[in-house]
Amino acid sequence: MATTEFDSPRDHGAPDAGRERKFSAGSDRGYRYSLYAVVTLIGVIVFYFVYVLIKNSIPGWQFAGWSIFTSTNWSFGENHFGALPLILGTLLTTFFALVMAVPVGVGAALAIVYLIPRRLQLAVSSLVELLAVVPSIVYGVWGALVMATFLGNKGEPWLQRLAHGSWPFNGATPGYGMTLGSIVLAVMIMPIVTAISRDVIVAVPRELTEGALSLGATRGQVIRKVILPSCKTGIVGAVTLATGRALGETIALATVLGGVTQQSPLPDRAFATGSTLAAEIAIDFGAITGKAGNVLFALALILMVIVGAVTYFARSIIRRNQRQFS
Amino acid sequence: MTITPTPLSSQERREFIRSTSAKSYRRRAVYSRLYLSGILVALLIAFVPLASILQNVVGHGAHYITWHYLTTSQALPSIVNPNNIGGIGNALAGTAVVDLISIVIAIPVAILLSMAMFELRNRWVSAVRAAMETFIGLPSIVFGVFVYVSLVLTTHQYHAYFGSIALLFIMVPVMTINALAALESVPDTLIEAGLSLGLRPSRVMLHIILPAARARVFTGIFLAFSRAVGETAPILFVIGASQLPSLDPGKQATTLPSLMYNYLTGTYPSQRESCWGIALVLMAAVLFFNVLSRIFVARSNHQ
Repeated sequence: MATTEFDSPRDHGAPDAGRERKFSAGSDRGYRYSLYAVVTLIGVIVFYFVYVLIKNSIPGWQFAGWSIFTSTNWSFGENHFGALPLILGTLLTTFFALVMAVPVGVGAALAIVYLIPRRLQLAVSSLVELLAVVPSIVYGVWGALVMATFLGNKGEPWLQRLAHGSWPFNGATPGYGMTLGSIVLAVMIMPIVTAISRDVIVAVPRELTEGALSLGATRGQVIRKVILPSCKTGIVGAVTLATGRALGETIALATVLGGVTQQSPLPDRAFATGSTLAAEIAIDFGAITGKAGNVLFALALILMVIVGAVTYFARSIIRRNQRQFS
Repeated sequence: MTITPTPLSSQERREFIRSTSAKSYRRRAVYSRLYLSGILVALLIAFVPLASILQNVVGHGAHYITWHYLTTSQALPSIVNPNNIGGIGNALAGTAVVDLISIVIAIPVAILLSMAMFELRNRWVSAVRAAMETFIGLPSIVFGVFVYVSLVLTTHQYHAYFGSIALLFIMVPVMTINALAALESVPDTLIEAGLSLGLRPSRVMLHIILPAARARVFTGIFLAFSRAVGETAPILFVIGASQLPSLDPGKQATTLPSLMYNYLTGTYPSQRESCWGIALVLMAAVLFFNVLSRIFVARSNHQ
């Protein structure tokens, strides 16, 4: 296949198809140059973005030292930069949010497509799509004003009684903390998981489900053995997007986590207070002075690396699955 | 002489089937019931918190929506007058300025960029494309941090348009990747028909590909915009704050999400309660754009 700059990726036709689309006499040169100009401009901005972040974080790394990864002593005002509680807080809140949101979200998507009456389907799925784009700060307000009181007065004491005060449900029950953070994140990402999973499930060919049903499979078997396997890639994609959102969520978490305390900085109990990387950047930004501010850039870089690693991992899962199926 | 199996009587046959498949069927039916009730329970669980949010936003927020609240500027409560919160007029004006500038720049940039990614294939272009895909997943606060250090710290000033620039980093990648998917969904036969008539690639793009992809391009634009309207983290540190309504992009501004964050961390209960009013306005705005995009898509498909 002749490759030219104007080849479309699916253009696997006649060997000459590409050459004919090449711009010979400079007829369309202006068009091509302006497109190149746009790409170059955006590319330069992207490079500048990466350069600024790295350059500004260097004094932060030097100032905080390696202990930023190992120390648990985080106190921005007093120049103690042990970010381990923040890193753990980010990973734990996201992990528990996924544990809560993914089964419920995917289950709800299946129910929307296969269980509820067709007349309700459009209404319910539009509602879910709307909730998927509701600004995250609304979820933060709900967490801080509604859920925090509920958890502090009823939810957390109840869990503690149920577990007879054993780990991880021991200690004070302030309402604010890792449990509330995970719940807010879960509620926030659930509509995203449901909306995307629904799109993927709707797209499963009817022949597949009908074939299975005609062979005598029950509806439960169809869901487990036909629909879920064929939607695996799409659902992994939905979960990846949701994970990215949860890891980077700032404002919804900034008011519900309670902050890192000097006495017990690590989020080692369900009801512990803590913070996440993104939330801590937002909270401490007002007090930026000198090199302490550069530490926040280091936090931003750590966060970007975590998000990038998770996305890369998920992409490789998707790619492996696609290869299996094709 | 062949041995023929003794034919089963119909009753015996029925008995045989019942003893084998029916047993398995009963077990499978029970599991099926369990699965179906499981996903129904998931749907119900999903709706509890979401219904609680909707109920609170509408229940606590509805009585704020008055002409007075929407048009007057915010006020500062004091110990003497703890319920003096004023309205959200300044935040509405700020949101309008910041978002409008941002979207006016973002739409042409994103469409041009997606056109470029569609037409040009080389390493440089695919690197930019990979960067855009990565930007969609990046935490939005890093864009705020970037704009803060590259603009606020160098000029020592806060401007409303700094917020617009920060929002561009949210909107352009989402719009570009969606628009690119829309362009690539246009059937090859259409494009080839145009080329075979001797049209230049730029004409094919303008008169065939873009019109055919219009509905999906606009869906992406609305999606990106409804995300940007509620973004708080990237603009919080770069637009400053303004107690007065102003449509001047060169001045400081307060937007709905930034006012909401201030109120949420504020000291007076009246401020925290007022968050519900702002939340209702924000959700109404998102709903408005959602409906608008549906109408637009339906009409484009109809044509």
